[in-house]
Amino acid sequence: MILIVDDIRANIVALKKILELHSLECDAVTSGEEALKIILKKDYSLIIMDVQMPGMDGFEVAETLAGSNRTKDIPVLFLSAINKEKKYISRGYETGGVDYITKPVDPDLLILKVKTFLKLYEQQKELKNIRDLLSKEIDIRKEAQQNLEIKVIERTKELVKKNEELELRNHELQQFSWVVSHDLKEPLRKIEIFIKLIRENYLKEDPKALDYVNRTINASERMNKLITDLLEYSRLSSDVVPKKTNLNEILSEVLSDFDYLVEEKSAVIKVEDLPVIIGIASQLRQLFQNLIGNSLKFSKQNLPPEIEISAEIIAEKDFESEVSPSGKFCRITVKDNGIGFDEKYLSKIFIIFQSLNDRNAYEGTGIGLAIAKKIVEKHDGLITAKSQFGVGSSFIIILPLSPI
Amino acid sequence: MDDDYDDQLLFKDALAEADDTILYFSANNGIDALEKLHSENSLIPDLVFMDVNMPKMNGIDCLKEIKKSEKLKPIPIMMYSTSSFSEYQKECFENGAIGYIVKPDDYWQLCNKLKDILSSELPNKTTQPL
Repeated sequence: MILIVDDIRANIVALKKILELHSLECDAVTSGEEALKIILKKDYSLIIMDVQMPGMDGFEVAETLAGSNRTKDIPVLFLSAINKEKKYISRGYETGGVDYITKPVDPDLLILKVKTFLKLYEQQKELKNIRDLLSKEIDIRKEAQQNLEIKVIERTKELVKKNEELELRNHELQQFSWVVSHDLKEPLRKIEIFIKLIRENYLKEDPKALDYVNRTINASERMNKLITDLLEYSRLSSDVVPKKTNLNEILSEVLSDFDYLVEEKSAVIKVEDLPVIIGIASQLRQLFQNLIGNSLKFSKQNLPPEIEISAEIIAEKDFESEVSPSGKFCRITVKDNGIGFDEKYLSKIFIIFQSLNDRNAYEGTGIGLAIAKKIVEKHDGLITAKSQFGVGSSFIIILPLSPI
Repeated sequence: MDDDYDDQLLFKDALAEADDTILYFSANNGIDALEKLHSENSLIPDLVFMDVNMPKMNGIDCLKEIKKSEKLKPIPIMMYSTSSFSEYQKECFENGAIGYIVKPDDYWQLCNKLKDILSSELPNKTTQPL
């Protein structure tokens, strides 16, 4: 919609004619004051305004329009028959006009100009709309982002709380299993003492009763060992600070504990140089104890055990990783020539209470390898085994040289 | 002195096994023990064996009480427990115990231990005859 402002009606009529010929709609008013009134009520895309008018002249109207946010962008086209001098023309531009046309007017040129300004105005409006949309979008996103941040904070809080609860539960569970194991040991100790008293004092003459009692004693000794191992397992979860640990020293301590068994079984143990790592010495000792103990225990009946303990520095935390002197991990292998096991049971052997072998032939609680695995995992390492039934086993451990 | 009647029984049997001339009396916890020791017609023992973990009053507290009393102070006290926890041991010695034994898992081990203790010269041995 175009607004025509001119104090001379004849001019309005002429201009209207031209515009209507090009199907451009327009309103018309005959003074500056009226123009301002109508502009306040309606939206116009272009104002064609006479300069010379009684009361408010065209420049004053344009200046007023420029002062208001709602109207400052409406293009004003000045049209004058009288004020053709340069100073008027420049005043027209200064007050915010987009063009200053002097009469007589060529209708074709006027229409071209009008259309151009209309188009520019529409484009400007469209741009403004897009800008508004964009800023709305930005606001929405900002809000979403803020909401998200709040949610993240809430969620983090929840997680921290859950984690604390979990730690508490874990601690309680450890306490629980420790107390249970400890309290289970007490009555068991008495069972053992009294039954042994009965054996020594009353059963010398009765081989059958002696046999039964011996079986009872064996069972209670076995239970005692189970409880000891369980205690050991639950104790593993408690916090200990890792320290610099020379695995060679650990290993030689473990081997000296096995002196008696090694001699009894005429075992041959070959040891390579092991690295120094940051770890928990007591746990690493237990790890070697369980693995070497297994190798000695599961040896073949009439073949002296041969156990090889070797180590390599490797690049990656991977069983197949290549050797690298500057690597950050070590791969330790404990290899024996014992009875071995079928590798299809590999996933079972590290699970607590899973014993593959006949209990009568090989004593064990089924906790040893579970402890080994837990220790390796506490050190952020990996453990696996390779074996062939009847040939021997290799247990392979990956440990980081220092905590990751 | 032991809250566990089975252990009391075993201890008495082992004591008799080690030396059948020994006279003894027993108490079930620290409070009970102090009552018995403080009673007027009580004899003052030459040696007390005292369990560490007992309800009502544990062995260490009872030990402290005994050492506070002029009358009972000279009695040598041997602590014993199933626990070999070294903090306990330290606390016992700090409070005047003359020894600390871990309850053996075997009856005959206990007998032998008692034999050893009874045949050795006790420090602060009271002169009062039983």
